[in-house]
Amino acid sequence: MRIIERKSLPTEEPYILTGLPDIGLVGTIASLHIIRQLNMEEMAYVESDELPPVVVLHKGHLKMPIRIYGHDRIYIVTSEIAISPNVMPLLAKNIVDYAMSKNAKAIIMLGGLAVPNRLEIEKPKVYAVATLDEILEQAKNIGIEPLDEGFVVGIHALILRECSFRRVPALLLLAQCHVQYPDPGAAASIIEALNKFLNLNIDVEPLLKEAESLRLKLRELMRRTTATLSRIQKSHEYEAPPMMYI
Amino acid sequence: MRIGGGDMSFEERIDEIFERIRREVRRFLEDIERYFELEQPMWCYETRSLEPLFTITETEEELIVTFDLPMVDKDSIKINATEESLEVEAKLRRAVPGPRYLGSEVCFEKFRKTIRLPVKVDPRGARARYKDGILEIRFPKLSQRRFHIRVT
Repeated sequence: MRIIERKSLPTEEPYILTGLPDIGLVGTIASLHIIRQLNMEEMAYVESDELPPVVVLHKGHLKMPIRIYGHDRIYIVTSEIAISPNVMPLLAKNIVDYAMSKNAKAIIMLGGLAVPNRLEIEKPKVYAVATLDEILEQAKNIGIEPLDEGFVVGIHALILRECSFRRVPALLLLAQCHVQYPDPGAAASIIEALNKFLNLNIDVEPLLKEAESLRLKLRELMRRTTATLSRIQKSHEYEAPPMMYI
Repeated sequence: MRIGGGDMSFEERIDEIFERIRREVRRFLEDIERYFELEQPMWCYETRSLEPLFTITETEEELIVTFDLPMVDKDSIKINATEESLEVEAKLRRAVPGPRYLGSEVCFEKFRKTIRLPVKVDPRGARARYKDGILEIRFPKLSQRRFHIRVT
């Protein structure tokens, strides 16, 4: 697997964001909205024999399913296909390699945290997980609560692990969400947290307005992502780690 | 240790065992079905309908089925259920165009899904609510014989 770069931003120390398919497709929805709102340009794509034999067509143009967009001081990795478990370690490693080659200030992952009572929650809360205390402090300072106990499973776990080994600053933002349904409300909460963290001004109103049509369009990706997640013991995330009582 | 309330006849016990086996086999087959479902499109050209996402969860007393039904008005939702199956249909607020290769005139007008339930339920006692585009139907499970086990 490798990341083929078409363009590069002139900025030094950019932030690398990831919006990859996971529960509630929170990262996917957030990344699509950020790309549109910031009018981001395609910078790179992921190439690998391990990926399914898929290319995507948009308005007749051929695209690779996992792409990286860029604007100003931000890169964002997004995917239009579910990431299968055998690809996850390679993808995580490549994303961290890419971030290091760019001398990134931090990797920020956008994801969801499954809650069974999501229907009763008006505004999903956002939690943070970080590889370094300084990053977690920054998140706490703007009102994002750290996730104290729990498991992280899947692509985010692998990126966190890789960043931890290599001392790369990484932050995982998790918004309370539906497990198996696309959740634009959770994506809006994540973007609002990101706005605060990176001092951005991305409007979430258009996202909330088109929430219903997004849910309709993302049914297939959600179904495939759910099937993938059931193969990686994602249900671990609903458990409490045994050592929490120590 | 003694199994209390053991007032079942031999035939009833055998029935109980077979019912348990049937349930397990059904679950296994459903897992396989779900796998093959992935290769099916989530729309039906003939009925001009879309397939909604759905989940099934169980508590001790209830079977809870939810459907993600965006772009739908509550009044257009039709639910039919038996002890073993559930059928949901809901009209979309506006027709949604299908993939272009189906032809520009092909639009989908409704959601439609029939599912086989993993346990027998009492459809008469079911309750449904529709909130934020999600339909939740709670069925009481048909009661099964319970036995008190005393620890000595």
